[in-house]
Amino acid sequence: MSKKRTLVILILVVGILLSLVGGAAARQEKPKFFLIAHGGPGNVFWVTVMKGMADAAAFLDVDATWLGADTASNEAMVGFWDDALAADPDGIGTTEPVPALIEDAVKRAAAAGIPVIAFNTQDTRPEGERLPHWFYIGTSEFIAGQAVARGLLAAKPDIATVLCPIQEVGHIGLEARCNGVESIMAEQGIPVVRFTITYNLSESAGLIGDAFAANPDANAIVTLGPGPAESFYAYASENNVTPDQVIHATFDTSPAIFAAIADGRSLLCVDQQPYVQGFETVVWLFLGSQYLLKPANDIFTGPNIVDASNVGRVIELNQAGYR
Amino acid sequence: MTRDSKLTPLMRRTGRIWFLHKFIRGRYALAREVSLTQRKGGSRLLAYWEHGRESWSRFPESGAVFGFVSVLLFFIVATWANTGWPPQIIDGRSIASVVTNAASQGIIAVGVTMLMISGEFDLSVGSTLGLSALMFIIAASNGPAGLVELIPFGIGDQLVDNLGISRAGMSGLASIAVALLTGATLGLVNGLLLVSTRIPSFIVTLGTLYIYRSIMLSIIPGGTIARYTREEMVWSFSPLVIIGLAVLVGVLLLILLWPALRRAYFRVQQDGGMGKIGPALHLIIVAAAMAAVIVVGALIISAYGGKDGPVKAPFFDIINGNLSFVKHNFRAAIIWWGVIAVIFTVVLTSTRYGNAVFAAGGNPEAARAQGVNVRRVKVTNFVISGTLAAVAGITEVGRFKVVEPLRGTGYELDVIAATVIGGTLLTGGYGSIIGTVLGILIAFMLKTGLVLIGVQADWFRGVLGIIMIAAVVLNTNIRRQR
Repeated sequence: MSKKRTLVILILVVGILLSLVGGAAARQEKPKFFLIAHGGPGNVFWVTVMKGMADAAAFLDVDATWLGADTASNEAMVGFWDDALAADPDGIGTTEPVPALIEDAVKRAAAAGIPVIAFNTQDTRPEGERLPHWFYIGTSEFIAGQAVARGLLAAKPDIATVLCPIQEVGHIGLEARCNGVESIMAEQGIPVVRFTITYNLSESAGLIGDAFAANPDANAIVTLGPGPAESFYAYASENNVTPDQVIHATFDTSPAIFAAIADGRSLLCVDQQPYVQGFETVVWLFLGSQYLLKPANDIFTGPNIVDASNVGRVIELNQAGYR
Repeated sequence: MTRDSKLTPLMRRTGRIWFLHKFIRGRYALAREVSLTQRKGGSRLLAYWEHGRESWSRFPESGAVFGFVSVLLFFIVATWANTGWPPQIIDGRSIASVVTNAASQGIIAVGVTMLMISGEFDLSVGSTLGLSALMFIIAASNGPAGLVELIPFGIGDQLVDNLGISRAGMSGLASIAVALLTGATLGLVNGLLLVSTRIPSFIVTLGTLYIYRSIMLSIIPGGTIARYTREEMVWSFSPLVIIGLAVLVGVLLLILLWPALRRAYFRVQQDGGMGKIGPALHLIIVAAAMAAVIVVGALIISAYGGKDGPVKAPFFDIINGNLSFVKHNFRAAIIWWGVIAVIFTVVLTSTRYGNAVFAAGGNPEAARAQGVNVRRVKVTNFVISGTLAAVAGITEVGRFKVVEPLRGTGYELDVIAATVIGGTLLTGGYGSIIGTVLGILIAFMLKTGLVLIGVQADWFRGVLGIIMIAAVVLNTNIRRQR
């Protein structure tokens, strides 16, 4: 009896694994690219990047695989990099949230002549010390932060204190966003309070509430991603906080953010155009690996501001998966 | 049945030196059993089959061996189908990717296995790893002053100013000691909390998982990354040191394997006939192990300039540098992992303490009756688990030279999953370190293999989950055959 059960389970396992391979086995002659990131399918932001990647791969008839932890992990990138190099890729796109972790692997890729393009988050060290990537496709976090701050000040000149919750401790890109906001606010003498939250929606809503309690004069908040924005909406609706009391701007996009902009709960969001990051990374990996073409400079995919004036059209595009 | 079955389970375990020895013993048992079955009129084939089942069921790691071989075979076929011969999974780069990245969790898993066999959990290993790695990097970069400044409420800063504590970075060995001490202390706290409060270790270590992580976040808050910034430490020593180490390891190997060798020899005298292969095989393995030690020693000496002067090795390379005498990204932590796994396998299978660990987890009452101090065994195992988490933390710093606040998050469940795949019982009293090593290798081979055949990342954990459940079903069935 127990032997039969073992057999059934073994057949199940082999069957599932075989079907995974079945999908993979068909594609072997095409150029093979990997996009390695510090996040994956558990995060709406990355889903849009992944759609861009998949669309470009289908368009160019190449193989592109996404390698990243379900929600967020910098450390997981180390193993993915080694695995990707072992698969003899034609090119690799990578995010660079903690450059030291992948430094060794990126250098091995460079030594082997494999094109490496940084996307979404780049090593901010000066050229020479920086990871040897070809160029960067993504937003300038600092400039985006400045754009958010200018937008906030234009809409509400009497800002007293700005809250800036950070959801991924140690992420240089998120810090750069806060720095950009701070650089403009500092000109007006407005303090920016940073604190740490998590990817857990309700836990973060509580933490945001705590921060408002600790800073009673805070009347503006800048969230650094869709998850934190939702946490703020949860906090605001539970505590009846109106847009007059606290003005909200956020980085990145999501249906909830667009809805909030449409009904006035949020002032604006900066779109770093994640779809473009996935799409263009594959396109340039293709052009680079096949024809040795590359642009002269980094390619900035943002900031592109979404506010009440254009949110209607953006909502349609969001439903189609492009924004 | 072999005459082993007359002995108590406790005594049966003392006789085993490790997998190899078990295998050799199995051969003798087989010879006796096959002739017995034949005398009773059964077929020879049936006797082999029955014997095979019986002897497999005696080893906790048999399920993991089966799993390892099947996953490997599967990926050999799959990568062969994908990109042609030779299959990418057995390429040096792929093997390096698997073992290099597995080393850190592998080291932790050894300690967790010891602890789980004694019937307890440690969920705090990821946080312990992070905090120990942080202490290591602080000690190495900022010296004693860096450590004292961690004392809160400004007392630390006062002490540094008043006592004039040095800001010069500590030496490599001292920094390692600081990290190990941190890990051991955190483990000790877990163990003492457990025995003093008598709440389940699941809860205790879930609590300390959060607490240790918060301590770490308070030391390097939002966005900061602790970096090793001072000049690279270079250790320089005479090639004789390496030769001495090689001799020492060789002698240790002989001492450890000698009793098994002797026993095997006397068995041949008793059983006669079949099984001359056993001792010969044993001798070959001992000789091969010693030769390997000599070759690795020689390679190290020549790779780090010992041919014409002292051996010069950067400190972080000794901890976890790229092994420059082999191709691909093989790193030193693999060696440390192997050494640690061998040491604890011997401790677990061939010492009184090992017996006590099995007894404490299997049947605490009986263990107490036999004079085993169950609480002390458990606390010791928590210290071992914490210390090995610190070792893993040190190897990660050796590789990356940075520590971010979330370093090690989520390791605990991955490690427990691998331990369970390796045949260790969640309820304690049963398990093996060889199984755990295989369990970790299965998990990392799975990750690498899925990348090689181009499966999107969504499915990694799912497949690991499938393998884990299958492995446990298999392990349970094998165990039931006893």
